[in-house]
Amino acid sequence: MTEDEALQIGRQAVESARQRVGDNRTALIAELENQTERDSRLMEAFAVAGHLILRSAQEVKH
Amino acid sequence: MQIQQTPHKAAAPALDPFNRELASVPMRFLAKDAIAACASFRDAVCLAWEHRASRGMTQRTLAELLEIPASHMSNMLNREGVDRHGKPRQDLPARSIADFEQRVGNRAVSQYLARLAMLTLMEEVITAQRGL
Repeated sequence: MTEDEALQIGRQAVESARQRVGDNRTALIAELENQTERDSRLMEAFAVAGHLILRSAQEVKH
Repeated sequence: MQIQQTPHKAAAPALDPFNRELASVPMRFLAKDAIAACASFRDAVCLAWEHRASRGMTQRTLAELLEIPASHMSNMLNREGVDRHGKPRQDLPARSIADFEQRVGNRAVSQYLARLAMLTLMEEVITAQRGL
Protein backbone atom coordinates (compact mmCIF):
# COMPACT_ATOMS: atom_id res chain seq x y z
CA MET A 1 0.00 0.00 0.00
CA THR A 2 1.45 3.38 -0.97
CA GLU A 3 1.29 6.42 1.30
CA ASP A 4 -1.14 8.15 -1.09
CA GLU A 5 -3.44 5.10 -1.02
CA ALA A 6 -3.20 4.97 2.77
CA LEU A 7 -4.21 8.63 3.10
CA GLN A 8 -7.07 8.17 0.64
CA ILE A 9 -8.39 5.07 2.45
CA GLY A 10 -8.07 6.82 5.82
CA ARG A 11 -9.89 9.97 4.68
CA GLN A 12 -12.67 7.94 3.07
CA ALA A 13 -13.13 5.94 6.29
CA VAL A 14 -13.37 9.15 8.33
CA GLU A 15 -15.88 10.67 5.90
CA SER A 16 -18.03 7.52 5.94
CA ALA A 17 -17.93 7.38 9.74
CA ARG A 18 -18.84 11.07 9.92
CA GLN A 19 -21.88 10.48 7.71
CA ARG A 20 -23.01 7.71 10.07
CA VAL A 21 -22.39 9.34 13.47
CA GLY A 22 -21.87 13.07 12.82
CA ASP A 23 -19.14 15.41 14.10
CA ASN A 24 -19.12 14.28 17.73
CA ARG A 25 -15.47 13.37 18.27
CA THR A 26 -16.08 10.71 20.91
CA ALA A 27 -18.61 8.94 18.71
CA LEU A 28 -16.38 9.31 15.66
CA ILE A 29 -13.35 7.83 17.45
CA ALA A 30 -15.42 4.88 18.74
CA GLU A 31 -16.84 4.26 15.26
CA LEU A 32 -13.41 4.43 13.62
CA GLU A 33 -11.86 2.17 16.25
CA ASN A 34 -14.57 -0.43 15.71
CA GLN A 35 -14.09 -0.23 11.97
CA THR A 36 -10.31 -0.55 12.32
CA GLU A 37 -10.68 -3.67 14.46
CA ARG A 38 -12.85 -5.28 11.78
CA ASP A 39 -10.86 -4.15 8.75
CA SER A 40 -7.15 -5.00 8.69
CA ARG A 41 -6.66 -2.98 5.48
CA LEU A 42 -7.93 0.15 7.23
CA MET A 43 -5.64 -0.58 10.18
CA GLU A 44 -2.73 -0.85 7.76
CA ALA A 45 -3.76 2.39 6.03
CA PHE A 46 -3.79 4.31 9.32
CA ALA A 47 -0.45 2.77 10.35
CA VAL A 48 1.17 3.78 7.03
CA ALA A 49 -0.30 7.29 7.30
CA GLY A 50 0.92 7.55 10.91
CA HIS A 51 4.40 6.52 9.87
CA LEU A 52 4.32 9.26 7.23
CA ILE A 53 3.21 11.86 9.80
CA LEU A 54 6.00 10.84 12.17
CA ARG A 55 8.63 10.87 9.44
CA SER A 56 7.59 14.36 8.36
CA ALA A 57 7.79 15.57 11.98
CA GLN A 58 11.23 14.02 12.47
CA GLU A 59 12.51 15.49 9.20
CA VAL A 60 11.37 18.98 10.27
CA LYS A 61 13.28 18.57 13.58
CA HIS A 62 16.59 17.81 11.81
CA MET B 1 46.35 -13.42 8.59
CA GLN B 2 44.34 -11.78 11.33
CA ILE B 3 40.84 -10.52 10.63
CA GLN B 4 39.75 -7.43 12.51
CA GLN B 5 36.14 -7.54 13.66
CA THR B 6 34.07 -4.45 14.26
CA PRO B 7 32.78 -4.18 17.85
CA HIS B 8 29.26 -4.89 16.60
CA LYS B 9 30.26 -8.06 14.74
CA ALA B 10 32.39 -9.20 17.62
CA ALA B 11 29.37 -8.91 19.90
CA ALA B 12 27.10 -10.86 17.55
CA PRO B 13 27.44 -14.34 19.12
CA ALA B 14 26.18 -12.98 22.46
CA LEU B 15 23.02 -11.77 20.71
CA ASP B 16 22.20 -15.15 19.22
CA PRO B 17 19.70 -16.16 21.93
CA PHE B 18 17.65 -13.03 21.14
CA ASN B 19 17.87 -13.65 17.41
CA ARG B 20 16.70 -17.25 17.86
CA GLU B 21 13.93 -16.11 20.18
CA LEU B 22 12.86 -13.48 17.65
CA ALA B 23 11.90 -16.12 15.11
CA SER B 24 9.63 -17.94 17.55
CA VAL B 25 7.87 -14.99 19.24
CA PRO B 26 4.60 -13.86 17.61
CA MET B 27 3.98 -10.11 17.40
CA ARG B 28 1.44 -8.97 19.98
CA PHE B 29 -1.00 -6.08 19.94
CA LEU B 30 -1.38 -4.18 23.21
CA ALA B 31 -4.68 -3.10 24.77
CA LYS B 32 -6.50 -0.21 23.09
CA ASP B 33 -6.70 1.72 26.37
CA ALA B 34 -2.93 1.53 26.90
CA ILE B 35 -2.34 2.94 23.42
CA ALA B 36 -4.93 5.70 23.91
CA ALA B 37 -3.14 6.70 27.14
CA CYS B 38 0.09 7.44 25.21
CA ALA B 39 0.43 11.22 24.90
CA SER B 40 3.41 11.05 22.55
CA PHE B 41 5.45 8.85 20.24
CA ARG B 42 8.01 8.60 23.05
CA ASP B 43 5.35 7.22 25.41
CA ALA B 44 4.43 4.56 22.82
CA VAL B 45 8.07 3.54 22.37
CA CYS B 46 8.49 3.25 26.16
CA LEU B 47 5.24 1.28 26.45
CA ALA B 48 6.41 -1.14 23.76
CA TRP B 49 9.74 -1.54 25.58
CA GLU B 50 8.04 -2.15 28.95
CA HIS B 51 5.97 -4.93 27.33
CA ARG B 52 8.91 -6.54 25.50
CA ALA B 53 8.57 -10.26 24.94
CA SER B 54 12.06 -11.00 26.28
CA ARG B 55 12.12 -9.66 29.83
CA GLY B 56 15.83 -10.41 29.98
CA MET B 57 16.66 -8.08 27.12
CA THR B 58 18.58 -5.02 28.28
CA GLN B 59 18.65 -1.59 26.64
CA ARG B 60 22.26 -2.26 25.70
CA THR B 61 21.31 -5.49 23.91
CA LEU B 62 18.49 -3.76 22.07
CA ALA B 63 20.90 -0.98 21.05
CA GLU B 64 23.32 -3.55 19.64
CA LEU B 65 20.55 -5.37 17.78
CA LEU B 66 19.30 -2.12 16.24
CA GLU B 67 22.84 -0.84 15.62
CA ILE B 68 22.12 2.31 17.60
CA PRO B 69 24.66 3.70 20.13
CA ALA B 70 23.67 2.59 23.66
CA SER B 71 23.58 6.19 24.96
CA HIS B 72 21.12 7.13 22.19
CA MET B 73 18.99 4.08 22.96
CA SER B 74 18.85 5.09 26.61
CA ASN B 75 17.58 8.54 25.57
CA MET B 76 14.99 7.00 23.24
CA LEU B 77 13.63 4.79 26.04
CA ASN B 78 13.33 7.60 28.58
CA ARG B 79 9.79 8.85 29.26
CA GLU B 80 11.08 12.39 29.78
CA GLY B 81 11.39 14.22 26.48
CA VAL B 82 14.14 16.53 27.77
CA ASP B 83 17.22 15.86 29.90
CA ARG B 84 18.10 17.63 33.18
CA HIS B 85 19.70 20.48 31.20
CA GLY B 86 16.51 21.01 29.23
CA LYS B 87 18.00 19.53 26.07
CA PRO B 88 15.53 17.49 23.95
CA ARG B 89 16.22 13.74 23.96
CA GLN B 90 16.48 11.84 20.70
CA ASP B 91 13.44 9.93 19.45
CA LEU B 92 13.55 6.46 17.92
CA PRO B 93 14.06 7.15 14.18
CA ALA B 94 11.04 6.30 12.01
CA ARG B 95 13.24 4.01 9.88
CA SER B 96 13.98 1.82 12.94
CA ILE B 97 10.38 1.19 13.98
CA ALA B 98 9.86 -2.11 12.13
CA ASP B 99 13.09 -3.54 13.49
CA PHE B 100 12.34 -2.23 16.99
CA GLU B 101 8.90 -3.87 16.96
CA GLN B 102 10.38 -7.17 15.82
CA ARG B 103 12.86 -7.05 18.67
CA VAL B 104 10.40 -6.16 21.43
CA GLY B 105 7.71 -8.48 20.02
CA ASN B 106 4.75 -6.10 20.01
CA ARG B 107 3.07 -3.56 17.72
CA ALA B 108 2.45 -0.78 20.26
CA VAL B 109 4.31 1.83 18.19
CA SER B 110 2.37 1.00 15.00
CA GLN B 111 -0.87 0.99 17.00
CA TYR B 112 0.00 4.45 18.35
CA LEU B 113 0.87 5.74 14.87
CA ALA B 114 -2.38 4.33 13.45
CA ARG B 115 -4.33 6.15 16.17
CA LEU B 116 -2.35 9.35 15.55
CA ALA B 117 -3.22 9.20 11.82
CA MET B 118 -6.85 8.42 12.58
CA LEU B 119 -7.14 11.48 14.87
CA THR B 120 -5.20 13.72 12.45
CA LEU B 121 -7.33 12.72 9.45
CA MET B 122 -10.49 13.06 11.53
CA GLU B 123 -9.65 16.67 12.42
CA GLU B 124 -8.67 17.38 8.81
CA VAL B 125 -11.99 16.07 7.48
CA ILE B 126 -14.06 17.92 10.12
CA THR B 127 -12.21 21.19 9.42
CA ALA B 128 -12.58 20.78 5.64
CA GLN B 129 -16.32 20.05 5.93
CA ARG B 130 -16.89 23.08 8.15
CA GLY B 131 -15.03 25.27 5.68
CA LEU B 132 -17.40 24.39 2.86
